[in-house]
Amino acid sequence: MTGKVLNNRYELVEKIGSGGMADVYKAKCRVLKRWVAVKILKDEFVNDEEFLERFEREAYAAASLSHPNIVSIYDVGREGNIHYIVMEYIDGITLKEYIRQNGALPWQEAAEIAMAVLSALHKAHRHGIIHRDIKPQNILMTSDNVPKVTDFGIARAASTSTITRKVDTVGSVHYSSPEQARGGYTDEKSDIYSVGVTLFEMLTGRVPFDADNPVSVALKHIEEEPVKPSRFVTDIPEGMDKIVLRAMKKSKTERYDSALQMIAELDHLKKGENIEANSNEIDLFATKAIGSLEEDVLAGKNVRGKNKGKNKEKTEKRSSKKSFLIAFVYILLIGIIVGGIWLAYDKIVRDVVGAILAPKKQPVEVISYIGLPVEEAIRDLEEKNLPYVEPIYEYHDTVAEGIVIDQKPPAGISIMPGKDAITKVELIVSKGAEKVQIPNDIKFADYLEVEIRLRDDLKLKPKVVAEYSDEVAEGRVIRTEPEMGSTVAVGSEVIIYRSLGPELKYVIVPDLTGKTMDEARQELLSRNLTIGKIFPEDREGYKGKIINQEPKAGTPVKELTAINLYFGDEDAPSGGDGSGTGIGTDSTGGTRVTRYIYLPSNKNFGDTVELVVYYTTGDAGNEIFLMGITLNKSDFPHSIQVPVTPGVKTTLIVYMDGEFQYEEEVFIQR
Amino acid sequence: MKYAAISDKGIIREQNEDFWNIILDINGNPQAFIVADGMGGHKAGDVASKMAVESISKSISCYLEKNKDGDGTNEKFLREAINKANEVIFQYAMENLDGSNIGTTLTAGLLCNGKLTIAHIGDSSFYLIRNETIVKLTKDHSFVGELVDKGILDQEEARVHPLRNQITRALGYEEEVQIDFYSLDVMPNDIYLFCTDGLTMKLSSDELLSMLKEEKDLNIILKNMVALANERGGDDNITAIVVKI
Repeated sequence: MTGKVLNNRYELVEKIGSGGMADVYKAKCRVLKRWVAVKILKDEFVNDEEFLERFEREAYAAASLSHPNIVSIYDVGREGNIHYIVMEYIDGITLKEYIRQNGALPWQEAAEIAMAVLSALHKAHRHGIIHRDIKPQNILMTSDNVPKVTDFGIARAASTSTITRKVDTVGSVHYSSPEQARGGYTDEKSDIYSVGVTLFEMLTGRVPFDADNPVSVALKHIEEEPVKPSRFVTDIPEGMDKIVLRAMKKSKTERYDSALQMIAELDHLKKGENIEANSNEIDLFATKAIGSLEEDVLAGKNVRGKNKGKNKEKTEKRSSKKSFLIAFVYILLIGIIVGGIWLAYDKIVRDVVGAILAPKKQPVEVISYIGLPVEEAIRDLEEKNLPYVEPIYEYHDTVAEGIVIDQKPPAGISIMPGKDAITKVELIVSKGAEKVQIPNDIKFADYLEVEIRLRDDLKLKPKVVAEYSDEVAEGRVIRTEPEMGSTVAVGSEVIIYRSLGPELKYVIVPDLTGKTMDEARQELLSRNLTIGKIFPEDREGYKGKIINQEPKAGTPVKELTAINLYFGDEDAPSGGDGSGTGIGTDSTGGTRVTRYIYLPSNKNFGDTVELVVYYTTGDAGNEIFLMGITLNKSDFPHSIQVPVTPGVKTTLIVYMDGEFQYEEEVFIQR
Repeated sequence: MKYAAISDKGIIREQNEDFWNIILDINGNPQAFIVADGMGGHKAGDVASKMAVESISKSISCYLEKNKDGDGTNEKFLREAINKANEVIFQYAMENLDGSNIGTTLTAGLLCNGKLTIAHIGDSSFYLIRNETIVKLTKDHSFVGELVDKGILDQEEARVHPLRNQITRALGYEEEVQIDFYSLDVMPNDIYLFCTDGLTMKLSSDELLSMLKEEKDLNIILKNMVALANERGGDDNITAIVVKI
């Protein structure tokens, strides 16, 4: 594939990766003159139309996600049988490789990477996209150590494929949730579980559940409780153990409700730790928060680079503290001097001095309000006399109404108190999920169109359930749940009931030959079948026995099918049509058996043997040429396919190097 | 003994990647039965199944020529034949397919000295029908099949599981392959069914049993089974061999 140019635009330069479903190439985009990564779907999927449709749909949906911690998708295309996705080229390694190179990561770094991944998922989940295959192999680390998540939605597309594949022995199963192992319903919380496993691996350098085969790994995800990460690496704080174990709860309801909630806990943990570490310094004048991680993570900043910057900030903080102390001493000195001449200038200077001596307003650090009810946030702001503007309300799919989802400035920044201070706190508050109406006009519509409309236009989570319906044609929508016309929250699940057509069971046609009309009628009624035409037609009463029937006994048919009956004595058709039966009727209608041609051991042949085979059918058939081939001696015994008719003798006539060798009879029972 | 076979590409797939063979002795009596369901991409999907059937048929044919009635070491012989096929396929993929792997399921039965020896890899199946009951003797080497064995999933959950098509063992996929063996004494009126998952994904064992009971002509039975599997979606190749003692 290297050297190929796709659609006259993407020049494949080098294969840089290979996964279960696709190969990845580094490529040059000829139009925009930049490097891109081109993901090319593997051969086995290119004939599976349903899968391809789904694959492209998921890729387009993922392309709408723009986030610094998500690998951007630029283009989705196909050229002939090559189906590909063009993505941002990342010069870096996977997180799996990163862990392999570095071993267990310091817990602070692991937390920051997890927060970056969760930030990417938060964005995706808000757009109704579940990743379903979060694992270190799908998280790329750029050369600046920015984590970037790739392959959104691909796992879902893969699950629709009917192609038999060898189970993936190293990848996804180590990270997939119990509900995925069971084949159950997956949602945002399945991604959170996988982040928990990934975080476990970052902290300890090992996966929580391992075994020599994927089925045992899946079983452990379903049944076994993970051990605490701190069992493997002792300096992991208890809070971190708790976060990992909560993300990895077997029951979805016990996990974090959202990616945002897990970010908040990781953030708190990191900050708590930092305050402890610096508790001997009273940090009144922090110019920038030590742990304004949330801002950095949500903005997708890099992880390693920031640690370096942090040290610089601390130095700056210390020097500004020093200058404040000097200023304070000066003010005090002036105060004392002025105080000394207080008696002389009593009335005039008192106010001035008072103003100077009065406690000066000092900046106050803004705490994190994310996740708190807005009233509580405002109460805290009032108590601290911090200025704030009217909260801004926004729809949010997962966070409940009235809860703060974002704030400016971020936690850790210090601002001046007082209503008239310039920097005011801005709270962004959830007004709950956006509401939409399920359309009224979708009964009888094609279910696939409705599924796409609900998902892409209304941002709902459609789930299709099939059921029988006498009223609605197959493949059309019967009803929805909640019902059509009702108002529902964006992102909520809507069940589309797709019709399977009327419910008719399959029954096997019984053997009616030799039975009387009454017996046949009873037999048919008991199976919910009906009597069809009766032959011969002109007969008065059907006193005889049935000699034939249509369809034949053993045929599976839907209920209520009419069975034609043929009564004896007259010129009714006889049973069995004799065509196309026999051993090995393949899709081309031919009938064949395999026989082996042996090299007679009593004769000498050269290294190669010219083999010619004729055959005859029946006792008086003409010799028909079957095949001729030149073979090496080692190719014997040589298999050939012999066309046969069951019940009729076929004779093979074998010639080697132009001489008759032997005849062989092939006979297949009818 | 009566027997019949059928192989159909279904109604969705463009090609038939299943292969089968019935090996007859010099008198035209069947001695071995093989079904194989290949995997490995649209160019090579049928390569592994074809190579497996050819290689193993050839080995069996040579073996029967030398040991007219088998010599009681059928399992040992089958193991060697299958290991050889594994090597041939694995080598072929290494040399010709740019490192991408191919593989196939395999369910084969060798009939010798009143015994039927079954060798099995993957998610094709062997069913024994005796005394009006049907038993699936082989275990599916698939992700969902093994979870069913462990009692985590039931048959219905397995049939709709997103990973239902992932098999845990395949012939020719890796350097070595693990083979399951089963052996049974041949009894009068036994019916044996070898088939690929194109059939078992669509028809329950109860349905298979009632279709085998209702009709005598084996070819008609197989045609009906294929017709029903196709009516229920036909999204995979369907292959079956039925043998009546």
